[in-house]
Amino acid sequence: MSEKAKKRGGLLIYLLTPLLLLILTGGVLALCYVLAPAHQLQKYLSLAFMDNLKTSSASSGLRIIEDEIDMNTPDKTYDEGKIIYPTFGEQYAMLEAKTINLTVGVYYGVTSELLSRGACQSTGSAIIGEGGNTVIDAHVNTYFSDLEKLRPGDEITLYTKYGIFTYRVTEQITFDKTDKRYVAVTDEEYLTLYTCKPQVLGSSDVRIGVRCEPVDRKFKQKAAD
Amino acid sequence: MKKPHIYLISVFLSILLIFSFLVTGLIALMHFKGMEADTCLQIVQDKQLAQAVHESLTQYFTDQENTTGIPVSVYENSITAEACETIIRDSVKNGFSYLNGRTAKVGTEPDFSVLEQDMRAFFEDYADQHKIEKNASYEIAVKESLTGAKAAILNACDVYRFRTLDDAGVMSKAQHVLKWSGFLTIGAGLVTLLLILFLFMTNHAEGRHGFYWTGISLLIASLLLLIPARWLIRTCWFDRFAIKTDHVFAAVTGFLYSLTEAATQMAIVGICAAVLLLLFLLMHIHVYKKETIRTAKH
Repeated sequence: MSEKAKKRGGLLIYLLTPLLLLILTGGVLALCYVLAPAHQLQKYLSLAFMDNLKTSSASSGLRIIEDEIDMNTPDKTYDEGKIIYPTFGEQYAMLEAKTINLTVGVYYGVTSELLSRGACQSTGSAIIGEGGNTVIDAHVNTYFSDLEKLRPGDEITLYTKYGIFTYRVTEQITFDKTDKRYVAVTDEEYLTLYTCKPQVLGSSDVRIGVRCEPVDRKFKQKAAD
Repeated sequence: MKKPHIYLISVFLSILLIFSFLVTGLIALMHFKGMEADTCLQIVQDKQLAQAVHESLTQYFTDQENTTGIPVSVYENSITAEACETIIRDSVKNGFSYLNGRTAKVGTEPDFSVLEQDMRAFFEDYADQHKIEKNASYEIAVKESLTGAKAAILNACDVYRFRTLDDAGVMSKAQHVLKWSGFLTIGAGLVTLLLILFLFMTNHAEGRHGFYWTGISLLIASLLLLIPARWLIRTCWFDRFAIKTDHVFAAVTGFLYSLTEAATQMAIVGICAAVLLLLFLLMHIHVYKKETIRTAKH
């Protein structure tokens, strides 16, 4: 090999060496990233920020849906029908209690944000019209301020997208916030409405409300439709 | 390339030097930038976190009014954006002091005397109006409300979540590691210098090759730092984090972007230094060639 060719070969090696080193070290770093227990860091981040710091393009947080609910009775209704199940954060009913002049939207799920918008149904309770205990609460200083004025015999109507359900108050209830008696799942159909007992010195531990039994149900669609 | 074994040893040393540059740079970045309260304090100012915290607290106490019956106006005197800023700043300074072992515990004790005074005045008025007896249970209820309000303020103002991290045991672990960060920076720097020395010793027959290997190692290390850092910034990668509280999100991502920017600047300085080193090498070769030709002519 001539001296010139040798020199050219040497120069080429010195020019290609940085590229080789870049690929080698970059590869090692990429491997370290895959193998390193960096994911354990997420555990601490989750603890600190009440979230998992997930890198996702999907939106997070509460998604509130507010559809208009028709409060007129349709021409044709059915005793049994199809229930449209709500999603968390969806306003899926309107609650009407004419005796206390109350009309308020009912959201599925209970969060402070939803409570600021209307009454909220506990997700552990029965969907309206499904049978079982439907539990709805709201703040005493806003929507349920007059709840204690409801008396046995008063009528309450829940308007949903899929039907209209009427209940009658059977008893006024008072219970401790730790007492699950009235908010527990039941086989019999009830509507339980409750709020905090008004108290200014800190939040109240006592809940007041009413328990109602169903008197009428009108579905807009047959179950088979 | 006259001797293949020297080339191979140089490649090996160069790989070690690249990692050494990277480690030194990252440790120095954490030591001088990441662990300094000033970095976070600047973010608090730039992102107007005090204002955001104030708005969040106002919203919180407005929501709470529905449950407790205490109007948000009770807090208006004491919870101002300025008061929030003071607590946030103290909280950040205290957090970093604790991390650096200068204070014994996490958390500040701000002056809540105005808040206490306003809340007590409200309760007194309410009790008088509603003929509530001011007995032991009244006092307990007042104290509970005060404790709750103070905890909510401290929690909102702890934008870097030092208290929660401490409760989870993260702060003490970080404190233990950071105790050695100064020594680690010096140690990593010494290892880097040692590797450079080895490269020059390996290439002692042709001393200028030492500049070549050091130059390309620094260039590659800088590129390995610059490329991911630029990618993180360009794609706004940290914006994808799902932290629900707005001001905590702004504080955390602001801090991470600040570190990434600093890493970018460090990498650019590294590239410039590497290019200068390689230019120096080329000049050296040029002068050497000229001298060789001149000597040959003579």
